[in-house]
Amino acid sequence: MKKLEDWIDYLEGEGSLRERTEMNLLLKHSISDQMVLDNLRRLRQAVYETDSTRGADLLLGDKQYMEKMQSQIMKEVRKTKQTHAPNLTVIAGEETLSTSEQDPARVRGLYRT
Amino acid sequence: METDLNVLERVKNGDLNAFSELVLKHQKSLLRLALRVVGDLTAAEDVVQESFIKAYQKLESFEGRSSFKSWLFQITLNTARNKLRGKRLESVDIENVHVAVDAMSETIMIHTDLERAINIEVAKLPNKQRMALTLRIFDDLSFAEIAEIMKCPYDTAKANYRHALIKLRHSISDSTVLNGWMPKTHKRTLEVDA
Repeated sequence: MKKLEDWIDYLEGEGSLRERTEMNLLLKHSISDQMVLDNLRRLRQAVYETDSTRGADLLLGDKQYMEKMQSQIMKEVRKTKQTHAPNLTVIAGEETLSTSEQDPARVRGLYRT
Repeated sequence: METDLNVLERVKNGDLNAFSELVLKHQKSLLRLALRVVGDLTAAEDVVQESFIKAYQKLESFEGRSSFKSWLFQITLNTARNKLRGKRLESVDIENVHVAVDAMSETIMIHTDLERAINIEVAKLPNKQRMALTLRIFDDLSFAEIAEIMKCPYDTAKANYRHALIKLRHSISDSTVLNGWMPKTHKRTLEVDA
């Protein structure tokens, strides 16, 4: 009979191909090993189901919500500058320019400065 | 499909839209992680936003030795913990706390005896074991990623996970409340194994 640790590794997809083949064979014949593995599987699933964020699955699966969040994050990211990123200084300039082109008021503002 | 490292190269070359792709790809799992730590959706959203900003600012320091995903997880975990620390230091309006807890218990926490028992036992685990367990089961991370986040060798991350699961198995099989969930034959097997 295999150790509990071995079955945990098996359940997690760990171990070499040879070890897994050996364990697959063992599972065909050993009821006690089957029970240990089944038990671990149930425990793992039970732990998974205790994740408090499962209650937010519906919201997290909402495409619109995620896109809105992405857009909000990017809005804030655009305001920030990277440390030691010379390339992005130029790009930040381009960003400002392209935004200004869509916004005549801002273009006027730029002219004034 | 383009790897994170390839997308990062584009970001480093000034393509901000590439960073937006990374945000879309990882924001959901980071939001889950943050929500688990701070326990409040609005605070979790703030944590994720702040984490992406930090990641963007410090992108040059990311050397690609770990995966980008585990680097983001590290940043988010630290940010969430700081946020939680800050929240604890704030003076708290007791009435607001009640409202928050009630809302949470209605929408998120659906406790059965088993869930309650597991939550209690998971909370009792040593920090490193609990972290390895939740990162693996809740966040579906590989042991390599867990090792990067926990800054430990691969085998240590795996050993922490194993110990956590074995301890939980012991506790649950010993629980009188859950008598029957884990058949006694299993329990005997466990005792032999242990």
